[in-house]
Amino acid sequence: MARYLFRRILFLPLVLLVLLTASFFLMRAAPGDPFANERGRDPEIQKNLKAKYHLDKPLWVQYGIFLKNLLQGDLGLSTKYKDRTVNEIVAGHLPPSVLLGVIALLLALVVGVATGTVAAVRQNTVFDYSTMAVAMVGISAPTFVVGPLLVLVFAYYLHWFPITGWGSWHELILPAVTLALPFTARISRLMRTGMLEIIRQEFIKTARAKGLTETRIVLRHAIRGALLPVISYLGPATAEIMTGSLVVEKIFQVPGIGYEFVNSALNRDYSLVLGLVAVFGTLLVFMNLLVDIVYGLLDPRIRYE
Amino acid sequence: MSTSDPVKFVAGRSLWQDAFRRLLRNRMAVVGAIVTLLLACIAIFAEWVVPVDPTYQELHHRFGVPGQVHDTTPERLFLVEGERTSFPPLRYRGKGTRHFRFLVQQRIATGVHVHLSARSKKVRKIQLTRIDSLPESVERIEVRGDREVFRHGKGEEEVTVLDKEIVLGEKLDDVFLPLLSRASRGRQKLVLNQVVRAETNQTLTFDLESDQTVRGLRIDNQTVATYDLVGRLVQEVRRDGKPFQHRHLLGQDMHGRDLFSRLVFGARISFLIGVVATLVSLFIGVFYGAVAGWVGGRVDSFMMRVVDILYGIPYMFLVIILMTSFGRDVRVMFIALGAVQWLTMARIVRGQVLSLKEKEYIEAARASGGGGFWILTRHLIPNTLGVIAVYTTLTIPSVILQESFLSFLGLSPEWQGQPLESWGALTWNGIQALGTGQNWWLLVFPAMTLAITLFSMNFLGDGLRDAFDPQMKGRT
Amino acid sequence: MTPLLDVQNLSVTFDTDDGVVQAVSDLSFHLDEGEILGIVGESGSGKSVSCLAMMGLVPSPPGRVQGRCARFEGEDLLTLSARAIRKVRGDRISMIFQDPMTSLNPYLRVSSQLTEAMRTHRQVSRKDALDRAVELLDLVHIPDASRRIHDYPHQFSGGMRQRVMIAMALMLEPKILIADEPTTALDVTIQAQILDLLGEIRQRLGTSMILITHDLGVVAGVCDRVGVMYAGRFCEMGPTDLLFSDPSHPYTRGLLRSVPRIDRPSHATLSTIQGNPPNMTDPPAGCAFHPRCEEQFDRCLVERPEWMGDSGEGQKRVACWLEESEAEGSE
Repeated sequence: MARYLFRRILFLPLVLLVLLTASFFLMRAAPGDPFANERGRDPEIQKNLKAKYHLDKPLWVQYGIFLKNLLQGDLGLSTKYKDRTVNEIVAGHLPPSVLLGVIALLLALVVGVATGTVAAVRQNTVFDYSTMAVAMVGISAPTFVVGPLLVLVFAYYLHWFPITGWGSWHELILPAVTLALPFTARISRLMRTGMLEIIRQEFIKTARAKGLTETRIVLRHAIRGALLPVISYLGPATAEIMTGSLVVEKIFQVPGIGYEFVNSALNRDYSLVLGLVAVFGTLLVFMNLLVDIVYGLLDPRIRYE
Repeated sequence: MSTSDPVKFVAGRSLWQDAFRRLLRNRMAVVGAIVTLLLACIAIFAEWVVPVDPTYQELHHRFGVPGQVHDTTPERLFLVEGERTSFPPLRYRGKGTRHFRFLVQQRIATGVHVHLSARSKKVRKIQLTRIDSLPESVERIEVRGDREVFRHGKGEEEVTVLDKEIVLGEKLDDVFLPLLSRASRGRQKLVLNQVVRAETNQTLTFDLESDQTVRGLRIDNQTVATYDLVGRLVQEVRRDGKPFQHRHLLGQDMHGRDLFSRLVFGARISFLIGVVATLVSLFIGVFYGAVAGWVGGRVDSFMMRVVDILYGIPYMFLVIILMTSFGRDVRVMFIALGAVQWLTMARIVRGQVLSLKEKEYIEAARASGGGGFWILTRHLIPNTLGVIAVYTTLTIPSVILQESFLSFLGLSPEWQGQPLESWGALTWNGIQALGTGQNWWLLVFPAMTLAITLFSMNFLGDGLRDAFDPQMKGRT
Repeated sequence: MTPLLDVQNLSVTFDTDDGVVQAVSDLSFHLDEGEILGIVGESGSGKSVSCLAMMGLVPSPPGRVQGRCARFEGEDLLTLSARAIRKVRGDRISMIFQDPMTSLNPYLRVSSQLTEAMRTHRQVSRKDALDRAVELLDLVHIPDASRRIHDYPHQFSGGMRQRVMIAMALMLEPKILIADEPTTALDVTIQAQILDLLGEIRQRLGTSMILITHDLGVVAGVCDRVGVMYAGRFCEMGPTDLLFSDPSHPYTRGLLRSVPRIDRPSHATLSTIQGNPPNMTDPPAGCAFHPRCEEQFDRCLVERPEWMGDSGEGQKRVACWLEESEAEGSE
């Protein structure tokens, strides 16, 4: 387990570094500078601004300063909102995004695992077919199609939920469901496939020969093995949820970092974009690490490696 | 199987025939293939499919409900005698000959003198005082246009003018020119620029043969000439006829543009980006994978390690940064989306090359003195073609999805400064124009079109994968 | 004496895309108290399926089980409800399977896998079940049982795992132990150890066993009686020594010839049985073995041979027309 985790711990920050480096140089490679269009066209002010943001230094030095500050947890100043640090903006906007993401992930796990398991156990029944048809829809239909349609039906016509907004649990449901749907679908499919593979294994025959009930066989013998592909999917799923949150936060006007990221990119707020990428990347790395640990705990063959 | 049976000879089938047979047995894949082909045809032949030009605005039919039929001419044709007027293709789809009749509108003045009364910040009134050379047949006058420049004593001011019919001599409502207040105090004479048209009681007619398409008209005193799509004269006929009609099958948007036509042209953009970006990814992926698989050893494991690392990255963030940095030119989008899609292709190609490398005919090629590059291009790449084709079809829908995602976020691709509005952008416009839910069609139709397209392509792709690569069936 | 288990006319079919597979046809056999019955046959001959069918473990659909009865301790296993037969499984009849690598759940500790049958069928505390499990691991000669019991399956070697499987099957002192190819996946030396262990268990606990195998060597060592199966039917059945010394059915003879023997010169070539096992969706008419039989004659092609020979104790029966013609010839 230790060796396995060690490999992953070395690997994941590398992903983060690649992401940050690519973002940094892409941002800096853009033609023009962030202050060119501002009122203060006075060269003196321009110069001061550039100095403040270290834009007057060579690219590699800028990169070094960026990484150094990042390691100290300092994400710098926003180039757009000059009186606010990126840290403040992140602190204000991170909680809604994390809340939404965690709820969506839990929802997807619970519903996906349950439906996938039942579909596998009742293979080739109406339940199986309909679950898999819905799952196919869930995987193919993009979040930005499902979300607005849900709003139209449940908020505009049925008035069950508010249209947009943030604050109460009531306002949380539609965005969470929208965000969770593709992952629910994929987890359901993964769970079904995993379950079907497991229940064909010899050790399930052994369990049956012991006279255990089907429920007990599924819950005790099959589910652990069938969960493994689902657990490994949670790593990439985190990245996808972050991407999905860009859209969901825009549709439902959730004041999260996804919404903030899109805006900052459109505004070309360099340091805010980079800061938010760093936050997303760090979350991703931690989530992947967590997934690896859970995987190791579930599979004794890795735990005792 | 009894021994008395005569030995049967089964004709050998190639891998491709076999795969094709398997594909045909998968009903969902066949449906997906049909829908995909249909959409591709629509995208290619968009000009011939649409009833009206997708950019044409019927401003007095904003948010037109789906299914409404509008006469084409009275609203849309702005005919000046002796000048040729172009308009979106109109097609008569019946049999035999059909007689069309137009109401003729004429530009009657390039400038109209208007009295503006603006005593305070609030009250504005407009009075039409004089129109040059007004023909006797004119019954009413219409002022139209989105933004028009008013010239008055203190320079120019841009004003939003709503569509408005005005009867000669009448005063306009207060709501009419809300922005004029600040610049103009007291009574002033303004010149309304090119916005007045008069509807005459004259009509023009012409006949169309079955399936003729007309895109241009020219009228003079007695005749009307019709032109086809490329500007050739179709016929010249006497004035007097019935109007063209077109149906807004899926309704109209906030500018009175036909949603169906916009979706059809959106398909072209989505498909174009899907195919081109996929080709970019194909190029990178095949090259990278083939080199890794062929060279092998340390280079291979290093190259694949790089792929592993890149797999962990949430790409859309990078694409968004790329597009905000380098602009939204559609060529940037091709490269940006292509550059994030090649990883899977590289892995698959590498796997194929590794397994093929060991096969006898490669040995044979090597023994007969073929160089590395020659073997790569002549033997390895052709033999991985089937799998590559399958994964290419699987990549296209995901590129379309990503492009729509970006458009939805407001990062529509542009071509020569003009935004290319794909389905993602239309969906986002639909959300914005939803109102209190009454303009549902603007959201539902683009969203459903996108969803159905992605379904069809995914079903087709899955079907192809199962057909070409039966071992993969049910794995993913 | 009424046999412990009496199976009559058991048939199992599977509905597949290519048609109905007749896996087991009209199979009858019995098992006496304390007896070890070997069932031998090629893979696909229906030997495993017949036992699974008896235990209600044939998945349905696609499988269908029919038969007159499978009488065991006054109950008919074939007509028991799913609930009732579950109570029999793992308690009075237990099974062990071919591959000890895959027959144990890799995600659960051996301790919980050993004790769960007991905790399902009897009201016992965790502690008592665990004690019993350690006792049985000792019985099957697993060293340091009280510590190893908390390990995971992958921490055991193949032979050890099969011992664990056997211990697991014996937890509730079953009347019958069905061992489905228990040695096939093991090394030869380990095979012998496991077979010795099975013999030892019969000695100590008096458990009856059905030993399913394709390996005649396995049968020879431990079984009292052997049935040879081909294409879903028995073709020959009788006491082990009699069957080995005087095989009557051409298939049995073929099988015996294909086993290397120490009492034959080492340069003598091993013979094989020609052809392939029959396609069970469309089995040959007459005797199912006739397409591969070197001694076939007209009757074999059209009429299926029934049991011939004395059904009494210590006698051998065979289903082959040769037997009848020999009997006629000698009269």
